[in-house]
Amino acid sequence: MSAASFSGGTPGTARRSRTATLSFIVAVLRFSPVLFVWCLISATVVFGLPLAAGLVLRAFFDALSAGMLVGTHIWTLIGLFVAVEVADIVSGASLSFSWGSLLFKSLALLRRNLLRELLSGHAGHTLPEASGGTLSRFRDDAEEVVEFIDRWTDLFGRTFLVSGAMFVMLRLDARITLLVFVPLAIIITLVNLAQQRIIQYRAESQQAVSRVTAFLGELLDSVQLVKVAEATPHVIVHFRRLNDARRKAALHDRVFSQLIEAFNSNVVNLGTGVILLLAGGSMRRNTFTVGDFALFVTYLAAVAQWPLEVADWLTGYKQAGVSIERMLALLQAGSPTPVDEVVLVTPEPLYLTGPLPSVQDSQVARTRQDSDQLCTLQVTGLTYHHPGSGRGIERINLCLQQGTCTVITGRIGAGKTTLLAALLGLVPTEAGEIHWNDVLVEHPALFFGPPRTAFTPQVPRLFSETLKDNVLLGLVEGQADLNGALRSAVLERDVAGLDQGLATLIGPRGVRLSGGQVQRTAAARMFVREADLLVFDDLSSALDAETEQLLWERLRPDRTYLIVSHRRAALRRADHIVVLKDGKVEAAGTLDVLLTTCEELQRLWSGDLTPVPS
Amino acid sequence: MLLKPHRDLLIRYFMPHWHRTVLLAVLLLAGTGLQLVTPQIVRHFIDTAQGGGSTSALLRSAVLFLGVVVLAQAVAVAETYTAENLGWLATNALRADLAHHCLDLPMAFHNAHTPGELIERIDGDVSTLAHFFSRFVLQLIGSAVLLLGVLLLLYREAWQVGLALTLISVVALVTLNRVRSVGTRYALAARQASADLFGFLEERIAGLVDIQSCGAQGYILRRLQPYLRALFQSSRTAFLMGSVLWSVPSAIFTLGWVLVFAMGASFYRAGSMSIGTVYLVFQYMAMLRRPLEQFASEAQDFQSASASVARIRQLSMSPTLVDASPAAILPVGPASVEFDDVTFTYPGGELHGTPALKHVSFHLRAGAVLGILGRTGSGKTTLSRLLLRLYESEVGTIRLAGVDIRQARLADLHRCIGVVTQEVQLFQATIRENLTLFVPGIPDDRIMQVLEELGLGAWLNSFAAGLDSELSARGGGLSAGQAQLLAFARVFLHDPGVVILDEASSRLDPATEQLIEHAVDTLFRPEGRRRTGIIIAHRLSTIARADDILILEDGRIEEYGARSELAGDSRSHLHTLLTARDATYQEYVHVSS
Repeated sequence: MSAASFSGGTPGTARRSRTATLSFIVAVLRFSPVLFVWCLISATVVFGLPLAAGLVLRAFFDALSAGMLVGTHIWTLIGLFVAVEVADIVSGASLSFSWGSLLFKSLALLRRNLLRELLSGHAGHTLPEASGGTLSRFRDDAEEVVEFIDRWTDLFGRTFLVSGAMFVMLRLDARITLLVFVPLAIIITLVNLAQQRIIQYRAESQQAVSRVTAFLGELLDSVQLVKVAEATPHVIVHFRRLNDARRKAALHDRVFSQLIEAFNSNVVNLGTGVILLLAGGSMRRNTFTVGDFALFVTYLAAVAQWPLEVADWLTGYKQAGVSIERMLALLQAGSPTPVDEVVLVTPEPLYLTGPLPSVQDSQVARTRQDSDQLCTLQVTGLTYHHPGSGRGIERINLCLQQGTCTVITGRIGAGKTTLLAALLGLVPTEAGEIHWNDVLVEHPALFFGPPRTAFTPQVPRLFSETLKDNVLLGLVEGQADLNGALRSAVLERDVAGLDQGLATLIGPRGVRLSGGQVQRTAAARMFVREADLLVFDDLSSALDAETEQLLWERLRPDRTYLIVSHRRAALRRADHIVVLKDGKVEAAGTLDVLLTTCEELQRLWSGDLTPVPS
Repeated sequence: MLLKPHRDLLIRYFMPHWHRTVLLAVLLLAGTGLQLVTPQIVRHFIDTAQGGGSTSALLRSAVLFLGVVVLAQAVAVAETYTAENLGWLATNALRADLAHHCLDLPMAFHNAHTPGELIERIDGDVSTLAHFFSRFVLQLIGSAVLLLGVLLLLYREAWQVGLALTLISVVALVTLNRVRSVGTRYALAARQASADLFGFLEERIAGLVDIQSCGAQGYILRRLQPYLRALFQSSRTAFLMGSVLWSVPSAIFTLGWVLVFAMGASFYRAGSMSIGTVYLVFQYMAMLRRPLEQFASEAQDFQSASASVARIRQLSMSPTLVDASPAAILPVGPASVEFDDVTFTYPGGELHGTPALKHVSFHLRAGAVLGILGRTGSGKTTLSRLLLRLYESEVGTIRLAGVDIRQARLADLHRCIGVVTQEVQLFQATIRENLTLFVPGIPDDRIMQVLEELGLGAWLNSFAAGLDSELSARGGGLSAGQAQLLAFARVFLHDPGVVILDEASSRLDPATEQLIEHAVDTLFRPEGRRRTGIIIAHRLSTIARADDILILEDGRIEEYGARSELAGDSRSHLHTLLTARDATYQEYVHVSS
């Protein structure tokens, strides 16, 4: 039931190969090759410049100690030095701009693909955490992965610098050069041995972050509840506890990384100390000049960063792996088949510059085909259990004929909503088959949707957009019968009452609609889609009697309906009633028959709940 | 240097941790001192070697150098730990305070801001600040100390060099301060784009089922594009501006190097500096650059931090309701409820700017039950929100036990009233925490007794860990009816004198509704604790126990009176409803008669 059970059960985890993260990053880079090359070139210049600076410094000290530093010579050296500094500023700006573009372009790709895949999976399957935690996959995990690319450019530039510096230093004094780099090699090994722990610390830290954001999300969804219960100080105590757990996890994670970093930067000074130990004799004999010493110390500082860069790269590599896993786990929770990470890096036009395509173009309207026309919908042996509670539905059989109205009823927890979710592919079923016009439906999640089916969930969600956009949700205004849908949903009076009518901004940031208005807006959203099979989960629950009556009266007779309800008006309207009890079909038939034969329906009908003697 | 809002935040959140702050300062000073010593050792070494000093003297210098280096590193690690810890402790306190403040803000505020947006404020912006606390302040002070030390030691060698580099440093700092404000603007735009993107995503993730069942996946992806584009463009600009900012001290320091080259050469030729001393000046020059570069790089963080501080301030300055002082005393137990000519319009033109309630007056005796009927959008829920003071009515007066609710403390008011709403919010937390809303001190026996009374005993027993079992996100695996029963359990534990049931049983099947009817009976039973009740319903069955009936239409009272009288009056609207031959209404007749 908790988040842990999801990550534990993710089938993708075990099969992940060692090179998976690498090929993932390569795929991200292939999306913006020009930007990446631009970054690499800028980085090479930025990192290569200290080579030149070191040579200028050496020339200065050698000329100085030889007493040769006069007039023009000194100004030539100073001029060279200024040129290096100017080149540094220009290449730095170039790197910032190209990296900024690459970073946010790649983030846009990952986030867009993540949302696309989330939208195409089993939406009704509980997400690993509440939406706040899901949001952190979009924010932190995507950033973690893309920022890993930064380490590539840094490592590339640094390696160029190190090669050049080694070449110069070996030619100046091979003995000192080699003896200085021995401690460097040792440090690299030590750092690599320590890498393993970082993954664990990072995973724990991110888990703690998710707990905090998830709770915050729930809290902000429940403001009224908390206010009225005067529970604010107490929920804040809980929030503090979660935050403190995060502090500890982050301390482990950060301090450990910092420890490794400190270890690396120590190498510069250690190396300088080693040069001092080794160079004493040669400096007295003047075979190792003060200029050579100045150059060695300058290069050492630059070269010693290399193991740090390698360690950063490796750390980033593993952290990126953790983040890719977390994004995949999010998708895996709602997918019938193992999720391939390629879906996250599929190239897509992002329109980050230039004109945006029109909204109409993006909604590839599925043209209605003859095979979409519903004749019969046959469900056999449908089985699903909620992973946490173990409750669900078992071996459900159901048959819908074109033009009929079927009502599923039953008491709370009987599995009515679960049945709809399993049928429509909102949750992954364990067993059972669905036939649409005698053709087996392989992937209900992909198959069901307009123009075949449309669905209104029990608790519909509206978005912070205009009322019209909420109803149309991408349909082209002229091609849809908006007014007809509003009328069917008995919403036309409410719309007329709004100051800006259909253009009124609703949703979390807009005008507050009543519970019934929200339900009827969602119903209009369903009706406007002109689907063959309309599915309502408890649509009338927030409606008053008159409105409900109008709604049932206005249902178009040429459509097929599947309705979850326990209201008498709905049961009367039904051609066929299916009574669920404890996840199984208790009885099915017409109201008249069931009222005489089915005890459960009689009880639901009369609201009687005397225990049945066993 | 530090702007006032930053300083206020620092003082408020660091004072409680003053001992850690002092430790950090000590570590900082020690680390800086050790850094300043090493170039002096190198100077000594070079001059000894050049002057033909003994090998053992050279070895002693080299070993001393290594010793100082190792010590400096140990200090640096201790410093990192202390700083990180301090940063988290301080910002966690800020997070908690902000979350607290957010919950205290009026509902009108929450209608205008999505949870995703507020998460970005409370967590995203504060995390930026955490960085500011643990790095910026630390490096700012560390850099300042290092800068001063280097300059002083340079004066010691040659006052001309000291003076020249002091001027260079001052110019670099002044320039930095100038460009800082420019950068903040770009960082602010980037953060806003980020908040907008995550606000958009938050709503869509919550509405995945709706999007799928409408086949609107393509449309939502298309709507995502402007958000991605805004973030891309604003962030890229912010990056570039940050880099330009970074180059300012670089350019000025190039001038410094030119001076050092020229002065070093001239002093050496004049014989007033040894070659070791020229090298020392170069080393200090290099050390001078680092703190200033840090100022520049931290200025990038400072921009984000400034943007975050501005937004945090904006949030924390949003006004909350102020309790009347001195507050009137509200009685414990059942209280009368009175609306006296109340008219209310939602702020910000909500509900089309026309009043949601118009001239509503009624008086409900203590211990009596009022049933409110009306079609959706007629103002029933608004009425309960006003009584709870979630919104303030400007016109008219609402009295609880004869006391104007504006005269009472909000906490007292809420202690008197319990609510069950149609939407049930659940937390990813234990069952106990979900029922008590994290309020400690409610005995388990009491919780289990309440669950038993509500018929949830068997449900509870299906969890191995009992009350300690965690409910999953958004109450997954729980039916709407079970969730509703949990909401009832919350009110039972709260045990208020006035209870509002807002469409509480509308989503329940009749069988489960019986369980709740039973619970409601217990709430209002005459022999038990007396409670005043307001039952908002669409159905007549739910108000069968009401003493009075109020029918709302478009925010006005259409009918109000004793239920028995109205039911018996053939001209009343209630009578029409009760005797309707219409199929829809028979349901009510069946239960009510």
